[in-house]
Amino acid sequence: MKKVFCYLERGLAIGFLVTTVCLLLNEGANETMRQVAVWMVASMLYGAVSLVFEADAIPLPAATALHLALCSLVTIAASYILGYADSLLSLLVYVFPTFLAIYAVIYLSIFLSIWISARRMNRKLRAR
Amino acid sequence: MKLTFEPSAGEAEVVVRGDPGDPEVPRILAALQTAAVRQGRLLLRKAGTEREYLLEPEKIDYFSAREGGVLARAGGEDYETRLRLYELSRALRPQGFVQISKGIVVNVQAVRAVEAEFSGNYTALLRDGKTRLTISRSYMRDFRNYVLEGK
Repeated sequence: MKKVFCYLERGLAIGFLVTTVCLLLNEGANETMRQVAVWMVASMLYGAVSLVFEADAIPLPAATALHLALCSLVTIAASYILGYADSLLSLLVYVFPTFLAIYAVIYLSIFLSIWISARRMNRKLRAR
Repeated sequence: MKLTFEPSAGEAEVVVRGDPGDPEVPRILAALQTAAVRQGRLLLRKAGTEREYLLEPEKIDYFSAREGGVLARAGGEDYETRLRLYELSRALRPQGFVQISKGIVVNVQAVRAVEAEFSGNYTALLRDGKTRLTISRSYMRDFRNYVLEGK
């Protein structure tokens, strides 16, 4: 089943990319396609930024803060390009606090799962 | 080469005497190493000396890579091994040795407890009650799987 989802995910990613390019070429860059293309590029950048979590040398809080900052910037840039707001400042005021709240919750969840994992391991280690 | 047997009580001891420049000496030591590994033991040199010891892996707390080689920590003492960290990690996996960072392979039996840190890393507290080793994020899954599932 895991393999099935893996291939579904791969198909989705490649299909989405190919479809978007084909639609852009055939239909032109209308408003909807512009948004799709910009958010597709933004999604790729979010994925690339996630590589920061692979670097052991960067502590998790720093990696999370870096991810937050870079993803906020990508979101603000995409939103500005698509004209979601009149100014960069208004986007910053709206996007950044929202991201901050989301990431605070994400980080606490990560730490909680790490803590629970440590407890499970200690139970096993004590039982030896 | 002369081979001498001296009967005595207590633990068996092998003493290899020879010129360190003699090519026969490393050949003898390599043969002893192979024999030791076949018996499930490791031939290790006590750090700072020329004495070599046969140690059972379960006596070793962890191996750490440093410039020039790999050190084994056992009973509060350091020993040197000719083997590389990745070789030790592979060979001693069945005996419960798991790599926890780029430079450390730990004996899971020597781990008393694991602590979660706010930095996202884990710290392994060893059976001596003093030694704390950092478990890197990228090696954590393997360590956790070994502790929880034994694989």
